[in-house]
Amino acid sequence: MSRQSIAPQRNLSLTEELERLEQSITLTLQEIDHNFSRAHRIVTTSVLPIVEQYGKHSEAVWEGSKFWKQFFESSANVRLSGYEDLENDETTTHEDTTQQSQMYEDETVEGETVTGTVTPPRPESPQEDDQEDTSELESPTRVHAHSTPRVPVAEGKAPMFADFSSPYETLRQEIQGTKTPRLLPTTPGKSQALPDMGFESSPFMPSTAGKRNQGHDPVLHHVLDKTYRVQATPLISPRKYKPTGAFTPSTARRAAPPAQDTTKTGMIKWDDDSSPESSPAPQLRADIFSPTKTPRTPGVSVMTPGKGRQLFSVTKTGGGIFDDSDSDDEGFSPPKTIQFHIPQSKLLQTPAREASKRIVDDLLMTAGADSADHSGGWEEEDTSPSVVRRQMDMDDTF
Amino acid sequence: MESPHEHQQTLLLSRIIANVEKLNEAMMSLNKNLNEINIANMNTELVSQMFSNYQSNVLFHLEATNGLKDPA
Repeated sequence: MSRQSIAPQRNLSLTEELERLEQSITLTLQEIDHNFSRAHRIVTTSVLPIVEQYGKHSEAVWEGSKFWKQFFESSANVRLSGYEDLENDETTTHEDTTQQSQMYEDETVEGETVTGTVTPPRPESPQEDDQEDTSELESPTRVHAHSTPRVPVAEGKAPMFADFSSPYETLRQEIQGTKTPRLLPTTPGKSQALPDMGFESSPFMPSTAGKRNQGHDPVLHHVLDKTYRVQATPLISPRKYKPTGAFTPSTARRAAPPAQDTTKTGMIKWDDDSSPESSPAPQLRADIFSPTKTPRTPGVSVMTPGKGRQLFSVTKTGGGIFDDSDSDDEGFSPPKTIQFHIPQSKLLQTPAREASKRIVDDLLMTAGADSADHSGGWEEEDTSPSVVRRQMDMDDTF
Repeated sequence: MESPHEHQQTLLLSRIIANVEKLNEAMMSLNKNLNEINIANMNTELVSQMFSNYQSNVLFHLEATNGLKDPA
């Protein structure tokens, strides 16, 4: 249009020029209208169905991975849930740097500040469970000074692996090319929008949770002006995990001389037990016959009357963080952790059947065969799910 | 007297407005769908992060205990 208006401009009269301009405006408006109409058509006919399809496929992916989320949640005895953070303050960026690696160490309970009761965070080992139960329950004021259970006990003594130079950590730093300390505020980017679940989230790394603000969960996503965080809520259902075996502090205390510092004893045992998963699962099954399986309420430890009173007194004298009123109370026995257990019915709800069917269908589809012909036969065979079920029967505890 | 061009342009503008409204509704629907999908995908992402974390921890543990073997 601009080309048309250059050459004949001098020869046209004012009326003709106006007419030409009007026509050009009309043509432009028509083009705009056409473009908007085309955009609307593309969005409604092409993009929206694809997005809906994407949503269905994403749902299928979630159905497949739902079991594993429950698996991890059950093994960690927490419930992870993402939620939208309505409060968008400027400190979010600063918190991201410290929250990146603490997704699973920071199992703070939001209800702590509201109700005043203290729910122990997720234990990562039987030792830790015992220690945190005794310390946090008796000292509610200390709870807000830390978020990991390891901090109050190991204040004077860092975990063994804290200064361990992990080859993966150095490799990661080499890859990233930065040796920037994590506590320095950096510009928010992709790496900060996603919590770094990398190597530094190891439970043996030194905890920086004490420096963080309480009440903020790790950031999962920054979407426009919204912030999505991950909330880890410790389950208050009966925790049937009872420490047994050689790695438990109770047995360690039993074997140890009574004059020893129990706090140190617990930490020494923890240091020796460098791996939380080294507690063998079959040992846990011995606690199925645990006499009491009452539901555990937040802030209240499960006590067995009269039994093991001596152990509790050792713990209390060793810790030095208990109230006098509690130390005078002789009716309590040591905090009892209940055996970690998943109902058999829940274990059977594995997506193995569906997953195996999908895998076979995909393979057949790749090979060019019709998957509908074989799906029925596969259902009848029922090989993979039965294998999984047999395994589940053998090992119903984690 | 109203110019024919003006009348035509008014009609075109009203058409454009209607089209923009429809496009806006479609985009809002698209945004809503995408938002729901994203929120639903957070769980999947969480699982993937937990798996990657678990994998790195297992790797670390196996390296530390010299239990890492070459793939068969």
